[in-house]
Amino acid sequence: MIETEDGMLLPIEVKASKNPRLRDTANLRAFRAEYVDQAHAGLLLHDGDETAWLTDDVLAVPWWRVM
Amino acid sequence: MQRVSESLAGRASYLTLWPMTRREQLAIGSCGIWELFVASSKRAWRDLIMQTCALDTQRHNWRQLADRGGFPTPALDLNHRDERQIWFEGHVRTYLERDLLQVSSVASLPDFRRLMRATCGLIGQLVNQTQLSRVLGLPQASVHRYLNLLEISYMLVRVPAYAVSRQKRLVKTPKSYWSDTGLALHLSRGAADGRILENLVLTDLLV
Repeated sequence: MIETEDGMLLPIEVKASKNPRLRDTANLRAFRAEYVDQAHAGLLLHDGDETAWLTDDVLAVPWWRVM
Repeated sequence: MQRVSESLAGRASYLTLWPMTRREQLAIGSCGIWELFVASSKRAWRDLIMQTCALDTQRHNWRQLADRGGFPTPALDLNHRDERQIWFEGHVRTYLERDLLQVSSVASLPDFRRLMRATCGLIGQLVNQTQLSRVLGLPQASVHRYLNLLEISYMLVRVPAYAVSRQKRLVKTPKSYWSDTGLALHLSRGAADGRILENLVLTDLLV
């Protein structure tokens, strides 16, 4: 998770799978439910090729597009 | 520094040089595009990622990246795994026999090395010092001290649990990672699994 100086949070989940599914977003959604004001959305880094919103607050991104 | 006759306190600044990130190895930047996510609205994320990626990065096998790690020689110059293993072994020996002793005396280097190996197998997990002490047959005080030595000598990276209260962050058990995945895989003699990918992401965030 990244915490900015103004207290905003960016939660990050890492999955080595190539096809992340809705169930893989459970931890990120639970975190966001607890810190709803500080975390507007989270990242699910995976080993596939697709960049897509799995829910309205979890973006699945291939790790190599970010790092 | 130990031979310097007077203290440089107040006149010295230190910059931590972590192992090279993937983007540093590819000469396309310093670390991941984390700033983009923090600085922009989530509605813009997807388009910004596609624009950025079109310019500079391609798919990569993360297991190969993890196996090479981020020290310049094994990451960039040594193409064969056997050569990298020799380099990592030399690095560990130099660390144990010279660097570590400059930080503190360690009664048993073999025990310290066993602890290093054991912690490499615990990447991404909460380290239970009591359990580690029992498994290794070492006093808990030694385990505690050795883990601290690994951390202050930049081998081990402990990530505190998140809590709004900063005091609570200090009390909760942190998760453990290594500053270099190549070194961790060499020591553990294990295969790169999902926790190692998590470690790669963490090392990118350290820069």
